[in-house]
Amino acid sequence: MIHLSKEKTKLMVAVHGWSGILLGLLLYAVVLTGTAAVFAEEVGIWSAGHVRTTSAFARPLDSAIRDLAAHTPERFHEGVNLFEMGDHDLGVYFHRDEMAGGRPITRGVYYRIDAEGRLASAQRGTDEEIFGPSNDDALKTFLVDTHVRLHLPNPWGLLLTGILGLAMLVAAISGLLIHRHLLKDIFTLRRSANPVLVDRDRHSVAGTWSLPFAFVLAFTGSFFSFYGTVGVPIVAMAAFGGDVGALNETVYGNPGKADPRPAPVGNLDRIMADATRRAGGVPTFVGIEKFGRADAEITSYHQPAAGDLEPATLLYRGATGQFERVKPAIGTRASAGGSLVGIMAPMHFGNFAGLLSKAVWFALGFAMCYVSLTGFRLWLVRRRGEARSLDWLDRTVTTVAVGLPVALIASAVAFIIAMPEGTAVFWTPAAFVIASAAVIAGAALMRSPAAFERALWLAMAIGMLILPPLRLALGGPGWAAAIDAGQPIIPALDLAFLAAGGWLTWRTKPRRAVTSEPLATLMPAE
Amino acid sequence: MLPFLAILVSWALIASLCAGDPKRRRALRTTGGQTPATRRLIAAAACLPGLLCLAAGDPAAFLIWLGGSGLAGWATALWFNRAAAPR
Repeated sequence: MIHLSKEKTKLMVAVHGWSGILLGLLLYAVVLTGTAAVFAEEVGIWSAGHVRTTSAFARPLDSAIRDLAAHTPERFHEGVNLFEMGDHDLGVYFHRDEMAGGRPITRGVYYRIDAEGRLASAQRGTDEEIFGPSNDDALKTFLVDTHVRLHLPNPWGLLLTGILGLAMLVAAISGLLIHRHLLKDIFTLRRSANPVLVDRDRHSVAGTWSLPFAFVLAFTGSFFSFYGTVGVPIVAMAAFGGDVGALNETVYGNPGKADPRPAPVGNLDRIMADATRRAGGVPTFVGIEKFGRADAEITSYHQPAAGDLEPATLLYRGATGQFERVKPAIGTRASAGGSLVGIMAPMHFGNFAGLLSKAVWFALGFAMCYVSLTGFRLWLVRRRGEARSLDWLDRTVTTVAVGLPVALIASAVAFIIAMPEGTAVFWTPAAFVIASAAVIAGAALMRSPAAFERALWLAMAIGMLILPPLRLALGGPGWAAAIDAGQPIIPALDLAFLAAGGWLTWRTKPRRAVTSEPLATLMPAE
Repeated sequence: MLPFLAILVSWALIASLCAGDPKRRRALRTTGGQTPATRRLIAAAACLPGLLCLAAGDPAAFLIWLGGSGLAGWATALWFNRAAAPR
């Protein structure tokens, strides 16, 4: 492998250790919530009891959009976004672009059309006012927001998660450089050696096997965090005099001659059917620019086709409904850069090949969590016996490592209870905060580290075991009904929670020969 | 189906690499193990399914194979050492 001098190796070990220690717990929080967020769609379906399987874009929507357009002030016809909400309802957002305090925003009217084609709600305001979490997706939104920006306000949350992604890259590169026998040690897990070697083996074996994905996930994650917060403003400042709108128009827009003459939009149902046929699947999002004008353009966005990584984007002429071209992620012509940008999201989210790719990404996220925590343990074990006690850090690691999933489970329990009452938007994060406070209080008050850790594992086990019966008791769809409706993910997640809860209960039951050592923190991966 | 098959083939070869890993065997105080040439050959063969996914023009299958093989390797290392751990 790569051979460094003794001094450089020492420096790299210090960089690796301190980058992990200073940012590791936050990074663990981001990676753990990201791991859960891989299945955010499925968690949303399971938690809210959504049983419809037909996409809003597979149902007729043309006449509904025309009716809404007739009732919407023309100043909001500048753009119309179509997307799915809740249980395959159709969200329709007529809007125009504005600047507020130097920031680009959109203002308009948002409609929600249910699966029967009825208008479920209408709301007027800016995108920030309209698109917060809703009662039936509060859990999903909470998970994703924790992962994306740790609930900090924009842009600070994104900047922090971007820095954490860079820290993960630094740790992966320095780990690669300091490990001289990366391949020779790839199967060696000594169990009866001294604690430093045992922890080192655990950390390095898991880290080596998941190394390619540490790079992929850290790089793509940092890309998403810094793209809007740093990249776009800098490029706009350098090349467009600070005009972000002009940059977006140049990079993502569809250049052409302006033609403001009024012209009815082409048949949207026919466009949706054609886009579905060309892309091999229904759109996930549709944007209509200059609605009702002769130069209107319709863009449909799709998941990658089978066997492909790059999502498909199709462009249609708005007035005629005629297919124009396949649109690259950036620019007007296909390019390597455009393709790279296009595959960033599938590579990060693992959603390019259905449940199989998601399952692999979920497990890889779990491996990253394991690597973070074994790294912490190794750092602590190496310093055991030094003059200054690091027991507080040891307990902090346990508190975050096991307490965070406990708090996430608590927020899921709260969501299941509060959603039927319509108060899930409040109680989902509130339960997380309450559970976190309880875990921190336990860490401060309980004297025995082993008892504290066992209590946390048991709390997690109990939380997982009560989720499925609670969901069913509060009116969630039963297994037979869900399978009949084509949503096997609902019983699958129930079974996953029951199995994980049962296994944790079995794993944490008191053994005859209990030592004073705490339980191995990382037991789920073993 | 392609990524499943690719992972399975690679997993079998990774398991063989793990079983014959000289360093792991030394740590368990057992002798023997594969020669370096054999190990290189098996490692190259373990990479073949991924390359076939790429050659078949299926980058999605390649990525699933890459991730799945990493997980399979880790699971194999855990399993072999768990079975051999002192009770």
